[in-house]
Amino acid sequence: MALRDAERPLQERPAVEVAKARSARRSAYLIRFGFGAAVSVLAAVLGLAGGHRFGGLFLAFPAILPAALTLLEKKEGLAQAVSDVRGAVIGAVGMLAFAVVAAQLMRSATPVALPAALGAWVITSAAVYVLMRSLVHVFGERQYMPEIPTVEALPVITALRERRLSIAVAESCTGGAIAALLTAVPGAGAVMRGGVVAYDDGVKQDTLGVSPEVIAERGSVNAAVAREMAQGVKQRLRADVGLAITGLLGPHDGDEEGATYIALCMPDGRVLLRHYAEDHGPGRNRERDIRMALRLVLDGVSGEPH
Amino acid sequence: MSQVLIIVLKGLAGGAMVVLFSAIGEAIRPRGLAGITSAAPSIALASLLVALIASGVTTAYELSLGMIAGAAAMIAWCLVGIEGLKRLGALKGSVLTTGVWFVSALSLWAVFLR
Repeated sequence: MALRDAERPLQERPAVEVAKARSARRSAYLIRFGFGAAVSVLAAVLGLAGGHRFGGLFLAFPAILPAALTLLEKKEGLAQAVSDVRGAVIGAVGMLAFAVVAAQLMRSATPVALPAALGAWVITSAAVYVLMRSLVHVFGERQYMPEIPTVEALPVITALRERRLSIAVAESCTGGAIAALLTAVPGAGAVMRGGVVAYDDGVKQDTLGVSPEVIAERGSVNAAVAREMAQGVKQRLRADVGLAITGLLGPHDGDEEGATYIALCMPDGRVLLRHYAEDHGPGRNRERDIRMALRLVLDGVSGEPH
Repeated sequence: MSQVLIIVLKGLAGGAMVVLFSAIGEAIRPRGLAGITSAAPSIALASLLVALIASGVTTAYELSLGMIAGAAAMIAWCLVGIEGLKRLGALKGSVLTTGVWFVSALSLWAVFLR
């Protein structure tokens, strides 16, 4: 039964998870301490050299954010890093309120100036956040997958349509993200047969016909499994080409973190294979896998050299 | 209090405050809300507190005035940074667009605060 609108989780609800703060690496906090200390010293030295107003500029210098965003992108993907900057816009508006209140009260009401300024940051940030959420409720999210814009899947759908080829997708490590991206392109219905999220080995065997012996002997992340997944999804969903992906996104999936095999079964039965082994962190691995799968389909159906 | 000691105190307090707000940010979900703490006035709070205690009200006031321009520049940087990240990734996107902060902050300082 379809969810009623009221039951549908449009946005993740705000929450505080103390365990998350405790689980963060001590080295990450040390790096941030170093950055914070360095910028504070820089602001103080520049204040001495160029006057306190000049030094004050650097109390709002974005020194820590680039490092934090880079770590976040590696750990959770670019979409989360972009979300973080969106949040930082709100925090920056609050920071402006902090500075204005601090400047207003510093001489006239010195004891309460900093607590009031901090309160102004909290209240302003919270107000802007609530306003932004309300706007999203009214206007809706513009992008389905911010980390990989739908436009990147457009050439794949166009190439398939031009050659009158249909496609079926079997995904393990990407969990249906490739199918979601392809079906977000207008006109995808003309070429997209469907997809199978074969996350479990049993589904790979039962639904796609992957040989149990191959999985028992070599595991589920290798070229042979990717090949059989591509052949199986092409045949069982009666598509002209079958795309398959199996991989270890890490960091808890095993020793070969970041290893991925992508296979494309062509209309004539040939299978094109790609293997990527470099680990960029789970978030970026996932983005790379989706992009490389799209590229393999484009290259395969366009007859580009492989 | 000597200037060197004040600078050291500002460094230690700034680092500690950044860690405190980072820990708060780690605990908050979703990421868009946690991102607010990425632009928390952690360094400002520490530096202004030390300035107020060690150097006096006038210094803290002057620093606050400068911070208004810096914070306005921060908003500009974040807005440009969203597109920078989407196009260039986190490291290149955020570092290359830092120029936006420098141009905005120094322009505001030169026009209104110098």
